[in-house]
Amino acid sequence: MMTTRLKPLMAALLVFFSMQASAASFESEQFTLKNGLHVVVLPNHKVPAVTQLICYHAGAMDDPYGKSGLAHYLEHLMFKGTARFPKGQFTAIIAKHGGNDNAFTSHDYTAFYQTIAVSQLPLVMELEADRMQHLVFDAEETRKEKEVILEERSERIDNDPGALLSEQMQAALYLNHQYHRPVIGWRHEMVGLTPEDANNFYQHYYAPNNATLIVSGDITAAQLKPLAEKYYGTIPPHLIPAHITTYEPPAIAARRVILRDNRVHVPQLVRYYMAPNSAENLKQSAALTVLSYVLGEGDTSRLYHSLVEDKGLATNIDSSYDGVARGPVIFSFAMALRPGQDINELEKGLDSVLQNFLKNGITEEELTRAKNRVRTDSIYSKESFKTLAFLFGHVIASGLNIGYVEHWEDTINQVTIDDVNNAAKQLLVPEKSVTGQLLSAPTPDKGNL
Amino acid sequence: MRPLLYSILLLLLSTSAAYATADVHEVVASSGFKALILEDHQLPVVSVQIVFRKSGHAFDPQGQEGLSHSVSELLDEGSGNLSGTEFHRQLENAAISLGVSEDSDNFTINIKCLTEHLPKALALVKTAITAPHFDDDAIRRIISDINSERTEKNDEPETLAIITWQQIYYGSKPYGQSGLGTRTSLNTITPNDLKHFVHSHFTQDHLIISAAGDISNKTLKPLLDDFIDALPAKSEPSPVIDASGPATGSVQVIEKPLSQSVAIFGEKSLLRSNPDFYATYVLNYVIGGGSFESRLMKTVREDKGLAYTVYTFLNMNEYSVVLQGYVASSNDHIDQSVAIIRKQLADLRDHGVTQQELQDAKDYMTLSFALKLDSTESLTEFLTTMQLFHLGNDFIAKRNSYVNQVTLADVNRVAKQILDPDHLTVVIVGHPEEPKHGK
Repeated sequence: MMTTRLKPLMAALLVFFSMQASAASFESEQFTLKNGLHVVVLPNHKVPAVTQLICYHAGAMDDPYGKSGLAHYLEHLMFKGTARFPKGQFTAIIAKHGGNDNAFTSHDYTAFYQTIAVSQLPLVMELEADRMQHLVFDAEETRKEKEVILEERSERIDNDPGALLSEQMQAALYLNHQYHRPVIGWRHEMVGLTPEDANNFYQHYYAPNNATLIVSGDITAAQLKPLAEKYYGTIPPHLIPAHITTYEPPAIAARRVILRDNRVHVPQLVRYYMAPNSAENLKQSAALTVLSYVLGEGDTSRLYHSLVEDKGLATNIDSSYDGVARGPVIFSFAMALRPGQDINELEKGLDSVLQNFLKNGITEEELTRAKNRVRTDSIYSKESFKTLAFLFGHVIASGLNIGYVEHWEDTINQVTIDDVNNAAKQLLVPEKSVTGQLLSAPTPDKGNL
Repeated sequence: MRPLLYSILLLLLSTSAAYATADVHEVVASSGFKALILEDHQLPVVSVQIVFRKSGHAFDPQGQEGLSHSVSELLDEGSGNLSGTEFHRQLENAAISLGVSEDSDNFTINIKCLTEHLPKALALVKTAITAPHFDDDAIRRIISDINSERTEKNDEPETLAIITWQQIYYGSKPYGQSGLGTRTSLNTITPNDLKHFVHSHFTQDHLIISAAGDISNKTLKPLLDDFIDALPAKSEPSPVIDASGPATGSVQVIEKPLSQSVAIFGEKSLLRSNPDFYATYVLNYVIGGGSFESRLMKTVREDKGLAYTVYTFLNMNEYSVVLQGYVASSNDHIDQSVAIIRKQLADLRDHGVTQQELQDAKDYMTLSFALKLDSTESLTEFLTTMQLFHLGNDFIAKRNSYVNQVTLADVNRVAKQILDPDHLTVVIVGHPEEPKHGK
């Protein structure tokens, strides 16, 4: 889950997640400054513009216990100004030069980015470097911004029963890992966040040696290096606290989450399985990417064919898996119940498709189709220098290297029928799952929430 | 070597106004039909947008509301000698992305694929729009899907507010329709109605085609000929949409057990063809279109912390344009948010925008223009807008000069003309306290 400073950007991010894109020859280059800032350059000369994206390798999973939502709160406060560029100046200066800027927080990292004419790159580097060191925590501004993040929580989560179900299921799936807390935070903890908390997080994690700078667009490494040294090279590094690494205990119990809400009129069925990430097991992760596609992505998928077209139990189906993360990840299925059908029948239908797959496995045609789709999406992802910046930032901030992206197409091409069938056997184990049902409440009862 | 597109966009980013526009050009089919294309051969990717004008849901016959949306959902469910399953399989085997949708005015088909698969993609679309099966089973399933979609949309506070707002503002007139029809209207739709829709709307005289990416006159022309020859030349005469006399000034609250209330507000604005369109565009940027630089973001969010999201935009239809906005605030603050919005609108009506606001808006709009055109999809959309509104093939080059020509007097005249905060139409979904609605 991600949460951003501004709502409309979510659409772009979702596109990028569904792409899972990569392929040989992104022509990426990288270097590291003396202070530890890792810089990645993605030359793309289609448009005379660039995207600068800086990822701090600290996100919601680094929120101290009892202070969920802190990383995201700080993301918002990063726009509240410095002595040199007081409140409002950052975004105003960028807009004045035709640029767009925004930020988002995930469990693993926090990212800030601007897209602007390449001639203005020095300007946005200067602004970004300034707030890496000189952020001001004003009492009144931090108080008002807390109201804003509480409104954000209302808008994204509390007003959306589907989002509430996801939040509950995530908390149930992760027994021990910090991923069990929502990125935006639990409301009762958000209320207690203080400027001092935010400043501590800032002092701990916002440093050149805990960041990756991605510059994508009309630029080369040779052109970028002197600029990076000029604006970021003088910022002193400091000691970064080690991430607290926690592991999941063995999964021994299938879990169920039933959320009844009187605002719901179309029941939903969601199933999560705990899955390995790409760093843990690249080969398996590639096979799971294929598996998600074959089972539930698009109109040719097994679940669509069986539950939407054949049995008419659902009106739509979705499946997703993104192996790029620091911790264990979620493999998910989600579907909306067709009016007049029974949610338990839909759940049986889901299990029967999965059982059938485990018994008979993937076909050659399905595997070829999945590989084609990955290859095509890789090529599409190169169209937009903005998309590429997000993709590389996501990969590197999750602890993988650029080779992961550069070789992704090869990795997928090497996936065999056996790989997919084995990955399915290891994944589709009831004890590793949470089944969620979103149901209408029989009678209106606000207190239930 | 840098592609040709680069040089256009570089010039847009500089202040120079004189440059060639040869890149956007027409491809003329044997029938005389003209498509617009913009070539960019850097990647083997092509996007094509096929639009049928006057075929959106505002044109659904009375009593058959939801007809055009039903067609949009059914086109991939079997056509020619292909079953729906086989149609999906052929698309997906070639990794062709196909999107079919309709808005109030138009019916739109978006294709994106690798260059090598474009002939296949266009052949499949041609079959879908000329020989759809409209099997009973598929119709039953899709109608149940649409009924479910309507229910789901009514469960989303923002969508419910928008749908209700349109119903109040336009009343029973065509733009008041959501496109999803009603249970009753969908039940009246027969296979013959669907077939009649296809033959009477998917015609050459309604057609607009835009293509961008790895495509040229030479490669597109034969495909175009083949595609166009399959379509009837003329449609039946289309009605003119009546968007007159919209109801204004009402505030409606829809009670829902939410902790945060969602408001949609809006009022009448100027048509796209109005000479003051760019002044309106600038005005919208200053009010709520300019993200953190807008008046509403600064007052409602930054000064008071009353909302996470507040914005306005120009909701543009061919026969009606609305200056529309959104804000979401907790139940005890929504009233204050709407009051601030009314106050800002009144201030802009009475005192206008400042010279600085005008300049900032122009700077952003002109300098950011090129950044929006970075994918083949966004380019085809842009080429379609150029054709829908007859903006001219040199529009990309001229567009910034139109923005720059806007004067302070223009913006402030428009502000006086369209802003009428006391007659703002407002819909609030939630459980607002003290529902004075910002008055």
